[in-house]
Amino acid sequence: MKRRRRVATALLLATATALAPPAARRPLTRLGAVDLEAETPASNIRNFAIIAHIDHGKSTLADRMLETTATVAARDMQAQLLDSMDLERERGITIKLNAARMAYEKDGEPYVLNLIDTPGHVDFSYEVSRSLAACEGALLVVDAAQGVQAQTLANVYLALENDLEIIPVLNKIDLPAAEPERVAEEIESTIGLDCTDAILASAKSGLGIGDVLDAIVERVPPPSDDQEKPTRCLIFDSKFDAYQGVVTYFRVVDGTGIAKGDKVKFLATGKTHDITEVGVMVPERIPVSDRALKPGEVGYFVASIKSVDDARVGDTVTVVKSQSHAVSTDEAEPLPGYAEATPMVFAGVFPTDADQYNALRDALGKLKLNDAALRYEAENSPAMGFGFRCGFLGLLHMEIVQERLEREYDVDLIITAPSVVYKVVPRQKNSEAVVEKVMKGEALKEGLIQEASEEDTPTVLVVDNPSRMPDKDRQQHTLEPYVRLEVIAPTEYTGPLMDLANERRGELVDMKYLTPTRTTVIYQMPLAEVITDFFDQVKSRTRGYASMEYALSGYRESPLVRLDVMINKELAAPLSTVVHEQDAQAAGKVLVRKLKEFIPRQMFKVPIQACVGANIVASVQLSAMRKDVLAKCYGGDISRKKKLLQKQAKGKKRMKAMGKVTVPQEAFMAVLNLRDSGGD
Amino acid sequence: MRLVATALAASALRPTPTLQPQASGLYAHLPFCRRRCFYCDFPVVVAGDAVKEDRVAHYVSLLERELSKQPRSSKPLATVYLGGGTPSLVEPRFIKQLLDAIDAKHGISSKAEITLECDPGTFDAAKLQKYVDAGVTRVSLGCQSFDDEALEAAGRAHRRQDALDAVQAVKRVGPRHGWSLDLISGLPGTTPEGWMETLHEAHSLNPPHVSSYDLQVEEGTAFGKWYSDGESNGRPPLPQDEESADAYRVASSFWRSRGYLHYEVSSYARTEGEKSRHNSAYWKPRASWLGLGLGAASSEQGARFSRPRKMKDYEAWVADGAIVPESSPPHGADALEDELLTSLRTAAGIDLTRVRDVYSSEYERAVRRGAQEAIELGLAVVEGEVLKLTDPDGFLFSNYALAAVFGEVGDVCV
Repeated sequence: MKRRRRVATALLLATATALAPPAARRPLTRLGAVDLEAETPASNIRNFAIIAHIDHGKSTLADRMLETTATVAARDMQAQLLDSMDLERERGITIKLNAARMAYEKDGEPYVLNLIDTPGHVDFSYEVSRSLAACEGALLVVDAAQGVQAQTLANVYLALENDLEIIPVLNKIDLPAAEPERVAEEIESTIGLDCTDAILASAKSGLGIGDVLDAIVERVPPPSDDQEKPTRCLIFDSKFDAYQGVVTYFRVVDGTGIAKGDKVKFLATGKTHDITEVGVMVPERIPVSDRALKPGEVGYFVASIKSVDDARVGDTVTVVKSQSHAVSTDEAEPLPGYAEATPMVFAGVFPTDADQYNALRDALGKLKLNDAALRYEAENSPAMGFGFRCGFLGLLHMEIVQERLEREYDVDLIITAPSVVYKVVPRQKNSEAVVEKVMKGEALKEGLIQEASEEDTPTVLVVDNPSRMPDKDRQQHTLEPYVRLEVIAPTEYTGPLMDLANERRGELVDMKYLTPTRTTVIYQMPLAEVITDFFDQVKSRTRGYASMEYALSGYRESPLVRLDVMINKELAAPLSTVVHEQDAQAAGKVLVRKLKEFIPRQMFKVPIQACVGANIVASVQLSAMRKDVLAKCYGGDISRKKKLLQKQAKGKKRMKAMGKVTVPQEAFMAVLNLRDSGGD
Repeated sequence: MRLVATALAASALRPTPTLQPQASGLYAHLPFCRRRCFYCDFPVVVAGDAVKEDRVAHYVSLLERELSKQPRSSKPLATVYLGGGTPSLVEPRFIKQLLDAIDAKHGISSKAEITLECDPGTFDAAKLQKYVDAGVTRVSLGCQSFDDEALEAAGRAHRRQDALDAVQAVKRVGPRHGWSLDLISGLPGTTPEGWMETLHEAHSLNPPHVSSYDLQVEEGTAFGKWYSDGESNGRPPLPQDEESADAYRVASSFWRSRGYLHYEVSSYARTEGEKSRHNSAYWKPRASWLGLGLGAASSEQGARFSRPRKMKDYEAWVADGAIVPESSPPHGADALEDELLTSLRTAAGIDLTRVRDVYSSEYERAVRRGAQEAIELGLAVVEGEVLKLTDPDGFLFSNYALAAVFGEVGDVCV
């Protein structure tokens, strides 16, 4: 059996080589002398994005295209140029977008190709959708050995929604394990995309790059060029620059364009600003001062904006006054698809050392200038001291913020376990109708009222901190966010995956064979179950062969209860969590057992209890520390023992006092997974 | 104003560079042992039951060479401590040779306390008499336990009877500054009853001084290897923390109820005058003492230096001129931490007015803040202006209390 498979692979490899056009050998058209800033008619502009799974070669492909079009001299080439944050380069993922304008000549005709990069993680799917909206086409890069992944699929659907021309590129065809034919079939069957003209490439070795560039020119439609309409620009990214303030990245959609000196209006915020600099990205910013950027062009502007919150991704910019070019007096309509960033995951962020509170506040303020999705508000508790309740788009976003705070701003943090946003509706007149509306995601009156009221429409209580979940005995509806979750994995792992999803309160929606050996399973699942160690479990149960994707699908009513922790008879609010009623006891048992492991022995016996309301559902006892002494300490020992004590003092500092009990950082993450995963 | 005062205090503390050490004591290390005990992490040379004379002669000559390189002490030594290892394995004539050399170099006061560590089974009254004739005035007797099983489980070379014989020999000779009985609680295989018996037996011998250590399992020792995983692996089990903590408490009340002074975490004296003068110097702030030999530590107003712990390295160091690198004594938080670590080991505690005067009122406040929790937990008290750990709970949790104080002291910005 094994032997036969090897033969089959060899055959496929041979086919792949035969299929591969001799692209690498063809002389490339280099346009090093072309003026990248020069005006180009819309018919010669191509705007495109690259859709790819992590590690499928997006960044390498982008680098090769920049090199080939001589946009970037080889000596300036840093590996993976587009990912400009350290963190991005380290993790090999794109967090914030960037763009690059390339000059390319085909059949004697000069073209401008604008690559608009997209972030590669589910947390940032809104940003992805706005980047795609700024394009007419997209390269779908799929690893010819690994095949389609869930992440890719999600972004392809976003691209299709935006009417993009999709060009499939099978990358890494020079790998021994590459099976371009199988993968092409997979793309056809899962996405319904014709792969007859799929490009075979190896970004690493430069194979097929010319074909990719040619295909962009030939197949991606040029942008429309309606100069009669009022000018409208779509913001697909904005960044805070310490010297220039916010730099807004945009695509001109229609109108007479946008130039230095124009007064512009942001339609979502209604604010106006004067543009002090307009330019293009090659990919570094080059100012263009002698002309307006016209429909189809991609560029940036600077306009003394202080926070990215005032230049939100997805917002429409229109020109209200210009000295250099005609401006339509018609009222501009906002471009479709704008949405405000909604944090899905909340966590308490506290400085390890109370003295660092001000430093943390300043750091969050600075981060916020560059991260419109980040939310924070002051929070304090007797146990944790002063800190912040922060909202994030997802777990990766949370991790990024944590790392940036610690790395760039040098603040030591204790972060509580992340939680989702629950909604609670008091049972009263019309409450059923309100629940319906919450489930559909309709806008409603939200507030802090927990009681039933005489009013016709009850107020919805928004709970982003588990400790604020009202007691379960109240007459109320409790709702939690659900996601549509898709996992693609080899068929042999479908069983374990479905077991896992069932344990996590998942409801099977669909199961499809992508190919005889690969299956996709689709579930409706509470988001709260996904933001635990769910993805780790998916990976471990599929030996790393699965890819996963999810998107918020709405709210559902669930019987939820608040599980509290009492340490030494005192409520430890930061450890409160919200669980399904049926899971409360089991979760409580796991939680107290974990806490017992994490909390060092104290000077006295410490009961650790998990409670729902007044009911103790689980309880353990941490026995008292018996001694902590260095019996012998003579001349030679002092230095060594002093070091031990200094270490002990430092460790103590990193803990938080819960009443009289000191609790180390790890304990706050104990609530992350409250399932007894005995299988591991 | 305070700034000026602090600066003055700090400059007053800076030592005036001097060639003459301020030390009043000297520690000399004699590393030879019959075997290595299972708990021991001291620098020792395992020599079997009989130590070859030429090895000892060679080592003593090394000590003499090191001595010859030392700057002469400004005043005669008030204490000398010959520790090990098992110094009583070394023939008395070598001890005499060594003490004579020390006396010739630094001068030893006629009233000096000269302690020799002795192990049961390595000497008799006649041999001890020769040590005393050589100048020894005090014996520290490493009995550790009177329970043969515990002694065997700890890898000791002697047994209960050897210990009783040794005590009789010491009593017959009667060194001028008395003797100390060393015990270890919490040895594997010991039971609460066994420990009580050991205490009673020890008390029946009426020792002028008792050192009672709670066993510490150190990394790199046999015990460290055997017991680090929490299992006894077929050996006598290590007592639970609870039991060894009890053993410590029991020992404290046992000796105190019999009139002994519990003057340091592990030290008891029958009377004020029978405290170990040499060891007491270690626990004084900015102490100075001389060191001599393998692994020995010395201190010049708190600036410590440890000699190489391996014989080869030590020999090379002596051959290179036995140079003690110059270093300035610790100051600020560093010095205060040393002082806290040593002073709080003693029943006398630390004088907070001294902390204020020598360091600053800010440091004094930090110490008080750091001690607050320990005071609330009954581990420490402030009597007048003196901060002390309580006996036995404060001593038993001295690390816990000290770490809290260190945390505050380390945070003081200067």
